[in-house]
Amino acid sequence: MDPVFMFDVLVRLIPPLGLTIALSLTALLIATPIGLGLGTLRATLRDQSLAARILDLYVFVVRGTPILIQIFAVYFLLPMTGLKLPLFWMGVLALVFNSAGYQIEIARAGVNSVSRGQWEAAAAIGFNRSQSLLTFILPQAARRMAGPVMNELSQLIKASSVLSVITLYELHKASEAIISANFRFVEVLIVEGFWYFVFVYTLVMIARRIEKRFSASGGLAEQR
Amino acid sequence: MRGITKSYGAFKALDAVDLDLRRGEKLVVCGPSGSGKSTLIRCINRLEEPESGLVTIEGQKVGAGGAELIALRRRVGMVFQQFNLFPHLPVIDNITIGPRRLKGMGRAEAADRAIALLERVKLADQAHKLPSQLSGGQQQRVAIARALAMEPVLMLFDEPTSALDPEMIKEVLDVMLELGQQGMSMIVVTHEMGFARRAADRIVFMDKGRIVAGAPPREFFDNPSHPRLRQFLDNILGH
Repeated sequence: MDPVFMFDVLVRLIPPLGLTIALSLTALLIATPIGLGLGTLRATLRDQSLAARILDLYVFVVRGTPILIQIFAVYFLLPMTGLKLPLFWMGVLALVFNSAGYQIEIARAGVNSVSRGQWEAAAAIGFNRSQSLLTFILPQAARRMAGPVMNELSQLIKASSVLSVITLYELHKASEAIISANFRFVEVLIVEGFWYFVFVYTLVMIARRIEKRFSASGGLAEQR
Repeated sequence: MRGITKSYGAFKALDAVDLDLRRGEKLVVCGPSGSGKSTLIRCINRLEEPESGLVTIEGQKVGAGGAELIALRRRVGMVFQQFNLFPHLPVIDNITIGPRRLKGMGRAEAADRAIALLERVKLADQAHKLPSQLSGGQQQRVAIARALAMEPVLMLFDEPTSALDPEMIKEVLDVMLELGQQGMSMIVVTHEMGFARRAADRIVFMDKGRIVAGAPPREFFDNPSHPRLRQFLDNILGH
């Protein structure tokens, strides 16, 4: 291994890392509210309702197909409908489509994990369903969702590497380009992996800090 | 309540039950498990939706949903077998959150009243702990204080001591006894026959979704009218 070469790659991969960060953070900021919001909604719907069936089908498709196919679907199918998006937004859309599906499941499971007794206790005091959800159920569910959501967000960042297949010049695409010029697989992939690691690790640290502050303040219900 | 019927599939949990309660009356509901006791009191504040029948409280019909039901629930307190305190809130917030959010009460006033209620259930020193830091008996007393904070006209107790260790049962029953002496209308589903004898104005016995016997405590225990009740009493008082 050649440290000088690796350092050179490290520097050359900074601009594509920037694109990876932009794609991931944009997708994350869109997918999380949509996914967690729809998942919470799903938890309050009857299984037989039309909205529940549609959401279930969506989650089923996301979980049942590889992200590679989902990305190609956005890339090839979307233009056929006449919708023309810039490449960047196609990438974001694919990531959002994928991640929101998983986050629906996380939120649904989180809300459902709060015991029925909590709903009943709130109802018996005289809270309606949406008040109960916001005041009692979600604060408890949020704590249980925090871990799985962090998992999903780190998955999303790493899944952004697959966007290389639609010619987005992000971290992995750039690494491939360097490799094809000199065939030094190991050194380039180590540097690429290092950048993903730094990005994910930084994000996890930030999230931990937010989580700590959140639980120290006693959560949603008693913000005064 | 009149003609309350509730089924789960083919199983009839309540079969056209009629029941009246006077203001200030303490009613104990007992019976074998599966006889419909819990379902009965859960139909009063509509945690269970009966298929047919009518519940009125102070002349007001309890509707199937909407604002009227919500308003009514604020005037009927309920205490659950599993306490169901809000685990993410300290004891005092468990008690104040109802009055503050639903009655627009100020924070200071709600806290003062909560402390007074905690004194009534002898837990004033635990106000700032989380529910998980309390024993079962203490949690259940907090649950009683939480229900009282809404100033109910009627209190429902759904097997309030069934999940408690024997030593903690007494502290909860003592609080309930005192509440009854202060004139609260109460419906208590329980297997605590000692409590029923001391506290109840009337005891009803349920079997297979029907009220099969009802009498003041002395008559209920000493002169049981129904063969199924005699068998039940033999079984639980046999030791």
